[in-house]
Amino acid sequence: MTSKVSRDTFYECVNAVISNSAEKKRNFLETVEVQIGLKNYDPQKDKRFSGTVKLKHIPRPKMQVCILGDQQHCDEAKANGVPWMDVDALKKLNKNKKLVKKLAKKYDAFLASEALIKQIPRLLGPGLNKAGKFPGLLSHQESMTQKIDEVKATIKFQMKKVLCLSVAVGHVDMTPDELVQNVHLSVNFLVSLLKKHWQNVKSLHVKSSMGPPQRLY
Amino acid sequence: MMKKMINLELEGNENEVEDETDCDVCSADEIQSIFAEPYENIVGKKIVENDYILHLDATLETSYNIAIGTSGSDVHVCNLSENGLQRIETFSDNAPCVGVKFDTTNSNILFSGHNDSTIKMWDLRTPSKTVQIFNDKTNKKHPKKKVFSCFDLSTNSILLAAGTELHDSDAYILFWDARNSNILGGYWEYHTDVITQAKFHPNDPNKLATGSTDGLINIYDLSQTTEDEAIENTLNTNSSVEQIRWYPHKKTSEKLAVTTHTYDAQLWDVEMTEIYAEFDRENLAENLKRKIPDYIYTAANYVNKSGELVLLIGSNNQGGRCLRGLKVDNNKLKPCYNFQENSQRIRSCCYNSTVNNLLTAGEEGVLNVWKFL
Repeated sequence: MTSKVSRDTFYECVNAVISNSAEKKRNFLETVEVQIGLKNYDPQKDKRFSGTVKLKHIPRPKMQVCILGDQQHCDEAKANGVPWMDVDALKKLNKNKKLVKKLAKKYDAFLASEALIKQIPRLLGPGLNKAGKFPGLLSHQESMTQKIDEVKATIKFQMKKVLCLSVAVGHVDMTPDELVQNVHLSVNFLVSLLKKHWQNVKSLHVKSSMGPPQRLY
Repeated sequence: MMKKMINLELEGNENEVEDETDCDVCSADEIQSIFAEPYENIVGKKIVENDYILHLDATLETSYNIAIGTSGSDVHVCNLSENGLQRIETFSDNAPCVGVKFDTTNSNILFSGHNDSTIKMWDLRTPSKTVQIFNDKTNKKHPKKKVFSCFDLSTNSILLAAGTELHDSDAYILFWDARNSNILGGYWEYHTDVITQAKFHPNDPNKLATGSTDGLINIYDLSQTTEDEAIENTLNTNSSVEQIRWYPHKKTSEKLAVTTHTYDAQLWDVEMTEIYAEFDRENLAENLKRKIPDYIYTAANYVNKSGELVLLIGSNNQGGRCLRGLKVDNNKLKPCYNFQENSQRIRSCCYNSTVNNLLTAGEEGVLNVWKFL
């Protein structure tokens, strides 16, 4: 796509975000987010601006993914030091809402084997759906660790009624290169979803949780 | 302190031109030979000024009624016969439309859903007033109404189901008896965001699929008494669900065609709970013979009279003029139609199997009817 933002601008903004954060250290790891303002877009009649995008570098490294696995996947998870549960462990929760809620809270995301994923709504009730953490599918054809990294690298975005959207694409301890690549990838992807591309973009900023916004466009 | 800039290759920055336009990757003659299935454009008419057409439905006679739901306040009804297209009714002063649906047993009865929390039932023989209004009166004390975002009518025209926007952080699926407007109840446990689609199974009036921006599709068996017992299956698209359609596939099992708000098409085997084919913008652009995947959008889809699923895919560039049809053949796409007369981004389609007509409508307010031979 035609990029309206030069490489130099990406680097200037990302470096400014990093140095601002370094000057004023917070006692938590600041998130880096991209903010996009839209124009010539009517949320009443244009298509919803919502979905997921897979980034190049994992924006939330501390994310914990739990495997709800068949025998083979549980063995593999054990060997890789990945948290896991088998059917029997899930059955023990006995659809108890409190216990399922606790499970949903404990992890950031879940992956389930084919044999299990069909049973999840019946086994656990609405708990994982309700927490927005219904598992993704882990098949035997793909690598478990790669799939976990894919889950960690995928971010959700959704614009509500206001013409502005913010997505977390990284954190301030990432290198400028990593951040620029994530910012660049997400900006290009988001803009490509708008029917008139850059003609629908009013403004683009990058900022850390506590820092001032840096204007990209 | 500025960190040192590294000369970095950014993906997607190659071969960039200012204000690029999308185009075919081959000549017009080649396009015609690839998208070779014949059609005739029998109607191309601007129905609506200044608003989009968002929803279409049609009855199944040879001379048939067409319902047109707009982003403005009007719902139009036209009739298409040997004498051409005639507008027979306009229902005004409605909120923007979230769906239109004819009664399958009576072509004079039309349901229209609106985002002011009503589904209206009209009778074309007595068009001056609504026959019935379906809404949610269960919580009179609550100052806010649940805003409808979609609806469907079961194939036996007995049950109405509506999905809602988020309402105090819950998204609801509400049910009515279509014959007497009594609300039967609702579900709210298995989705966490706006319900964008509710679709009854074409043969089983007790089976409902719902899709949401939370990325999940839930399959319910409505013959069960509670929501926990009704949930049969959850399909996780890992995206945001825009459209879903039940379709037959080898007749032995059940399939859902899903399109997401990021313009992917996913074909699900519902019983196996797995995607058996998936097409992203790159695949679709390649099949469409278009140069720039970033302009590709999934317009709509339908099941033709041979039971084949046809995806209508277009390019957002140049006002959305490019619109083509791809047939799904197992897990492959087969190029079929190049709808040359199309002038707009398509937002809805419907299909009359009796006369083999496809209807498309969209953002210029134009209705097109394509007759297949």
